[in-house]
Amino acid sequence: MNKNKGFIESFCDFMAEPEGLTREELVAELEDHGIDVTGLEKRVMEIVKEGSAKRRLDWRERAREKRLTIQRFLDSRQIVIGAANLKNKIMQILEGTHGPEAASHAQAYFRKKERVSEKDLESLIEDLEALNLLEEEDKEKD
Amino acid sequence: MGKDKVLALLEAADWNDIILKLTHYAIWQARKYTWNSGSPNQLPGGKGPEDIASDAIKKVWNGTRDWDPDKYPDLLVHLKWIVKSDIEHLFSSMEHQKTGRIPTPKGDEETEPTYGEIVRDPSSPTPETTSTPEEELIAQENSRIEEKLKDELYSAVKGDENLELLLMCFEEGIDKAEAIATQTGWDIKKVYNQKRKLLRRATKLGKTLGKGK
Repeated sequence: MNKNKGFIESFCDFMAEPEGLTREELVAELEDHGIDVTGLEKRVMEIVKEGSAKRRLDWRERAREKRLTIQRFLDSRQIVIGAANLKNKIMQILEGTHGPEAASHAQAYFRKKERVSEKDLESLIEDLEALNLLEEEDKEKD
Repeated sequence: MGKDKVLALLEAADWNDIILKLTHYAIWQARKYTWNSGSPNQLPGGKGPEDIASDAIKKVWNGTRDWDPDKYPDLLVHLKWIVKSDIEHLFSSMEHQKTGRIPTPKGDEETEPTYGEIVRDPSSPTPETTSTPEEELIAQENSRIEEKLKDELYSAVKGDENLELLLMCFEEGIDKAEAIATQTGWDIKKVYNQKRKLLRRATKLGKTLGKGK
């Protein structure tokens, strides 16, 4: 209860909440206000389409930047010759479907390592694969 | 939560459902105020409630009003907050322009309303500070308009005990469905049924609500 609220404000706040109203009732009300519901839904789907495309572009750009950072990092560290193919595998994973989450993980993994061993790279691959698995599971849940 | 996960949630949202609910919300938020156009469907800048609602969605997508699902899991709640805030801003910026207390904001992405488009805010309390004779007159007029609206609403529900009880809840500032259910002893379904009935009656009142004339 909010005693400071006036009658009209309380009335409008109660009516404003769409809970309990069906789609048909909402459509009828909007049309009663002269709103073209079909046109409005179309307009919103355009906003969603444009927003989604823009965000995906940003996402890919961020992923690309992170991959370059890791590439530079790996290039600047000593990697034992036998591990070179693992390094390539990591770069392939990062260029695949993992995206910024995996790249962030790889960045954090290498942050304090001056020298990268074959074991380090194998461990990172395991982590990235687990992360990929988790992300796939999240997508399925959504 | 990562930005890619927020994107996945935004893409999975039911936007056709959201825009209906959000526009309904904007209609009723706009009705709290009286606008110089004479209708809550014609807001300053040539906007309607549906424009306020779709602008809110645009703001979430372009990041002007970022959504944090960890903090506000319900996307619609976040969008409603944006709509309410934008309508209040639309109203109050005009009110300030009218009284000259705050300069016209610059650089807003919204089309700024023009001078004098707002007539009154029925929900605002009578100022306690010293007011000018003009302000006194406006306050009196606002009070008269609110009483008139109340009379019209009570007349529209006359003879329906449930709806009369519902209006009495509003007199007490009780406006949440759960609180109304507690106060009246109804179950929540009955509260929603009364809302439907009241919506039909309010529609019959036409555009009187919010018109203030």
